[in-house]
Amino acid sequence: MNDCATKIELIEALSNDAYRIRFAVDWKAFDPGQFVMMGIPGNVVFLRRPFGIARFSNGVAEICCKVVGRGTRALSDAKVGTRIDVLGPCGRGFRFPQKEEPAILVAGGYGIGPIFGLCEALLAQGRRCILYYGARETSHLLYLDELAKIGANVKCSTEDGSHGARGMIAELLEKDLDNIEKPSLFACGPHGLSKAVAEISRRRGVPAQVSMESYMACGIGVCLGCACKDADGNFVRTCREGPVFDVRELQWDSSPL
Amino acid sequence: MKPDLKVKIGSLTLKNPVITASGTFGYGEEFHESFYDIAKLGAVVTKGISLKPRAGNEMPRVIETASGMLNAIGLANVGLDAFLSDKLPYLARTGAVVIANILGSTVEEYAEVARRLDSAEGVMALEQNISCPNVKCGGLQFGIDPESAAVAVRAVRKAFSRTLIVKLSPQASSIPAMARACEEAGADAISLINTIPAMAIDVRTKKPVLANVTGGLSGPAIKPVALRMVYEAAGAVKIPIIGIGGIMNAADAVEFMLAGASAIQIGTANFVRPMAAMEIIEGIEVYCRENSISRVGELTGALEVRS
Ligand SMILES: Cc1cc2nc3c(=O)[nH]c(=O)nc-3n(C[C@H](O)[C@H](O)[C@H](O)COP(=O)(O)OP(=O)(O)OC[C@H]3O[C@@H](n4cnc5c(N)ncnc54)[C@H](O)[C@@H]3O)c2cc1C
Ligand SMILES: Cc1cc2nc3c(=O)[nH]c(=O)nc-3n(C[C@H](O)[C@H](O)[C@H](O)COP(=O)(O)O)c2cc1C
Ligand code: FES
Repeated sequence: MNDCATKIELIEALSNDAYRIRFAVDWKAFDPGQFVMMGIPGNVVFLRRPFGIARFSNGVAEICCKVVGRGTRALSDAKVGTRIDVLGPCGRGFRFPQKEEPAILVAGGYGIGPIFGLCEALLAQGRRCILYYGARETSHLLYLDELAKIGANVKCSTEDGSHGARGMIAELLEKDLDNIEKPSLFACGPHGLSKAVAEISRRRGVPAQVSMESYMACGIGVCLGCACKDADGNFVRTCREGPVFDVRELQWDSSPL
Repeated sequence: MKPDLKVKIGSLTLKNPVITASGTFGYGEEFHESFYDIAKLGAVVTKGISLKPRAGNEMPRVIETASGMLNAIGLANVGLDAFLSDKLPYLARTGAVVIANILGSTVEEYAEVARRLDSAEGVMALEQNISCPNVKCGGLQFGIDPESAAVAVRAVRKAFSRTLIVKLSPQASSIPAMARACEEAGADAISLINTIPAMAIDVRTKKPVLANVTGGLSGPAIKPVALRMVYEAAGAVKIPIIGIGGIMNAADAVEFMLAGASAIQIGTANFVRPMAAMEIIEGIEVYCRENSISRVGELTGALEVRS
């Protein structure tokens, strides 16, 4: 992990409110599920903002940023060449499954970023994987072209039924799981999705890892602002012990964010 | 010529005036592993240590505000035993000057923590955080009333033989009176300020943002207040002052020294730029060179007030 002063190399709209942003970094590798703390250009916000690493190759990293507030707006409005500070790779990423187990990836919304990274890494190693990907409507399904290019097996759902199955992605996943032997689950998305995956994991006794979100001040484990509760009710740091946790490590009845 | 950056705090000599603030640097491991050799700092102040471990408050615990942030971590820490067995050995191996920040909810707790740290090798100084609720006084902070602060400081003074720094709360009824009370009770130095009690509200939900309702404000937003308080404290006592509050760069650090601080602490800046403390050491050195200052100590209290 280090902090590097770099420049935006590419910025591209993926939908009306999500952007692909690329910048050079000086680290050599990352674990899918790890994230970066991005300095936001223009002094509009004070703290850095966390984003999952979607891709990394030839020294260039990519994030997918959905605009939800002032920081994400300013980052998405930045131009190619804008100077930014990028701290990373932070946190603990996904642990890869055993060779023979099919990896079942589950993404909701911009959770596709880290899951895309995982999917690409698994396919590069010749592992079997299926990606379940849900969004509100078709235009919110991102990275579909890239997923096709890397040969990913993708099953989609939208809440309005405009693409793939109608409904929530966890429902589609649950239906299919009966026909998959020894699956292990890997999820990144809104808290509701993580919770649903944890519930499926518990009910079916299948292993699952989820990437958790928490408001973060430092991203490096020193402020204790990002804690979430582990299975014994103790606080653990989302930015350090996570953001990816085995669902059995966490307490699921406590209220989200 | 290379300026002399050494400063004296009690019986401690620091290689430079830059210290990392409690609660913003963990127990040093993360920074030492990923960013820089923490022995290059003037000193490291640990997260506040209590007799027993504390889990801390519910989420959310932090939120950004204009030019700063609020935190209500709730003084979460591993507790004295785990500090001594798991955290201190690592810190000591790095060669950093270690200042243990301690907290207590009774005078006895402060004294007990101080007594056990006195016999611990590797703790060079204590920083006593008196912004803690005193359970015997209905939860009113020790740091508000100079008399109750003095009782807590005297107890720690008796229990700890090395350098004792007392960290003031900005809520003190009077900063000069509080600084004097701590000096008389045996403090070797005063550090200030701790965070300023504050809050944030979400208009959509009509709820406070922090689970704890209120939290402590830190960052550039508090710097002007902190500067004024450092200036007042420096005018009231002879012991060294350590300035804290919103320091983001070397110019900010120099301002605190001109106001009367002998050393400074970097807090929230560590979150925004992990290399901040190193950049500030360098920046202070450059400032001294450019202004023909041979000893950084010459800056302390060098403010020229128009009369
Ligand atoms: C480990 C991790 C990985 C993430 N990965 C991505 C990613 O790949 N792509 C992406 O677009 N976003 C990601 N996020 C969320 C992103 O960090 C927030 O959307 C962003 O910080 C909001 O900043 P803002 O200034 O635009 O919003 P603000 O103006 O600060 O807040 C606007 C709204 O966003 C909410 N919010 C603020 N910070 C967070 C946060 N950390 N988590 C959840 N909600 C938040 C606020 O509560 C508020 O409702 C990730 C968060 C974490 C913790
Ligand atoms: C997340 C966080 C945790 C803190 N924890 C402690 C603590 O345990 N003990 C203490 O004395 N001060 C604590 N502080 C206060 C800082 O040490 C410092 O006094 C304050 O943040 C002001 O400096 P700054 O503006 O440079 O951050 C904490 C501050 C923050 C932001
Ligand atoms: S964000 Fe600071 S400890 Fe996790």
